[in-house]
Amino acid sequence: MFGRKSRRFEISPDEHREQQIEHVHSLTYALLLDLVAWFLDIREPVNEALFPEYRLAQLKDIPDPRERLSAYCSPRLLATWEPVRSRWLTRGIRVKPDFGTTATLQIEGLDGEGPPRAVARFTDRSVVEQGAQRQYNSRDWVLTTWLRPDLSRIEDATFRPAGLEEGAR
Amino acid sequence: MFLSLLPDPASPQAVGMLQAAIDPTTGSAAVPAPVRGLMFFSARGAVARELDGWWERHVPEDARPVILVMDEPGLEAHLGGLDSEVVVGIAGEAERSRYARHAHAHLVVTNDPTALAEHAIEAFPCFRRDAPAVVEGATEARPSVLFMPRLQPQAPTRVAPPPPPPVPVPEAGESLTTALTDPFTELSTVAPLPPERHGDELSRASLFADGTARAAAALTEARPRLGIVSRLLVRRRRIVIPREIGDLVLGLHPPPLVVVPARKGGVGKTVTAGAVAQVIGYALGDTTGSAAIVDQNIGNPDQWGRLDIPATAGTVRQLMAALSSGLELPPTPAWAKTPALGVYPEDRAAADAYPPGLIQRFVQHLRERHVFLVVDLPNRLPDYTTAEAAICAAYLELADLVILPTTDDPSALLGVLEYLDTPSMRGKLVMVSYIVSTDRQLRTHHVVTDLLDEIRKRVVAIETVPKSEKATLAIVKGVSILDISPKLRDAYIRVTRTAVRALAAAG
Repeated sequence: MFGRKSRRFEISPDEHREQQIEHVHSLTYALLLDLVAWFLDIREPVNEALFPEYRLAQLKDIPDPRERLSAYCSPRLLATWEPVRSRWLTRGIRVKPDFGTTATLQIEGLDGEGPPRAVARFTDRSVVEQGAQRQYNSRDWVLTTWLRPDLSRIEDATFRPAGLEEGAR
Repeated sequence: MFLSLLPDPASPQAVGMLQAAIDPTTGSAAVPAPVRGLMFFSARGAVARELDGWWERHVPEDARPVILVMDEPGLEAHLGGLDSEVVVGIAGEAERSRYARHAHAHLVVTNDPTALAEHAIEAFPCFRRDAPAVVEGATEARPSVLFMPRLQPQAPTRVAPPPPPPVPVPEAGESLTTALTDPFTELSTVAPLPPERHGDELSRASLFADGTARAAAALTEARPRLGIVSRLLVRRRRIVIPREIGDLVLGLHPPPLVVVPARKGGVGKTVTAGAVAQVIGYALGDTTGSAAIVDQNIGNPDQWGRLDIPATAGTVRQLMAALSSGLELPPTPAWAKTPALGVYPEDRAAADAYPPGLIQRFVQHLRERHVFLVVDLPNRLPDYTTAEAAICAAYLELADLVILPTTDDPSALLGVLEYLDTPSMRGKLVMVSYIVSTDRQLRTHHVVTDLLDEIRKRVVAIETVPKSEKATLAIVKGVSILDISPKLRDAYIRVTRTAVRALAAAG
């Protein structure tokens, strides 16, 4: 009765949900990091020691952040961001990203009612510099991602300043 | 915050130099650390706890620490993961390679610890200095500070951004104090992607179509892959919209809500709403944004209902029901053949008003998905006496621009003035789309011109549209008004451009 055969090989619904949450968390974190690396044109593998929260192990050795992003973001989304990145790079602005330590992540739609959606709120404390001008950001942002039902890919994502994400004008 | 890990007796001297040079308005400070050199980083046990406590007391959480330290064997191994900038005094150029991976380390070849203070005073902006002489044509010196990403406190990245492209010379009048954009600010201008479009969702194609649903399906399916080329091949005709319209629309944030109400029927309200939305859709065709046209003429949905709507197309009523029941994503809109235009038809049986709060949520929902919203409202003055009037009042409350269509029928012109007098219109941005009669006597009659003059004083603009039977023909043939007549197309492009300019000017 309590021998090897009695071992449970199927995960429970709670464990499944836990895995889903963990996966969405990983994707959201990876998106934030890879997107910033892409915008800053940093082409290096993800340093595991520096970013232990980056849990997409199969991607972390890929130096090109665009390539990493394409592994879990829809091509339409990346195509949308391409011109934005190009425009930003031409500004010649340098950034030291700092997203604080108190980001929150709200996940919805894992129960199958509607596409899964993750809403991350974080504070941008980056230092932005251009020429002799330096700026210390302190702004709350909301990153909303819409995922495939099987959580295999991020289909869409938006960044909105907190408070404006609800469409306030 | 400058921390000296320099050895005595140079440390007090260096701290003194820094303190004397710091601009007091910056709030910066310089302090000597209780433990100097490599030991500051490698301490363990009780010493480490003491140092942690010292750090918490002396280094504010939001400060940018800059550590001054002389090189020691193995120092470089402790710099990874450090959330500070470090000025390191090295004995020679050969030592630079040891710190190659630490972009946050400023290396100064010197044996004099006070030279690090001098370097810091030169390199960081928090020190008093004379205003540099302006030399015409001189290249602006690049700051020597490198920034590193930091996504969590214990593990900052140590990768410096690449050398930036040449900094564009500020144009005349451009202030150096202008806020710098960051990637998120840029990204926040991007609207959510429109849902993937499928052939069976092209229900409202007939509203704006110039071909079959099959062609429309081919168009929308090919668009993501082939872009403009495919559209040119499939559509044969391409409506040219001034680029200014698309550019201005993409610069509007949050997505504006434009409502088109009227006091009386027969003034081209639905045509105006549809044409403006279509122009915006074409203007956005090559971008990532999309517009939405919403039928809220609940008392008279025939204008839309007579068009071919498949059963799968979600109506506004269904969307409202989904929103009120807490479902996150109501059904996708139907997609017009016009590029980047989502169509939200109303239920043919709709007659009830929606609560203002629900309308607010609905508009919010649309704003998350589109960059420009046009709502066709009932022919009612806004108030809360009837369902249709309540719909008008609720949308007007949220509207960023009101387009009042009229003809030169005096009763229609009086209807515009009557609309302008309603409390809901106070403070609203309003423009008028004026269908000009072909009858010269009528359009130049003093009653008409007097009423127009009165209206002109109270709105941001009046744009004229030629009266044309082609507008009726467009409805009969089920084709777009933009496709039926070049004159009408040009007129509604003007109406749209004026609307967009007014929105942009209003900020």
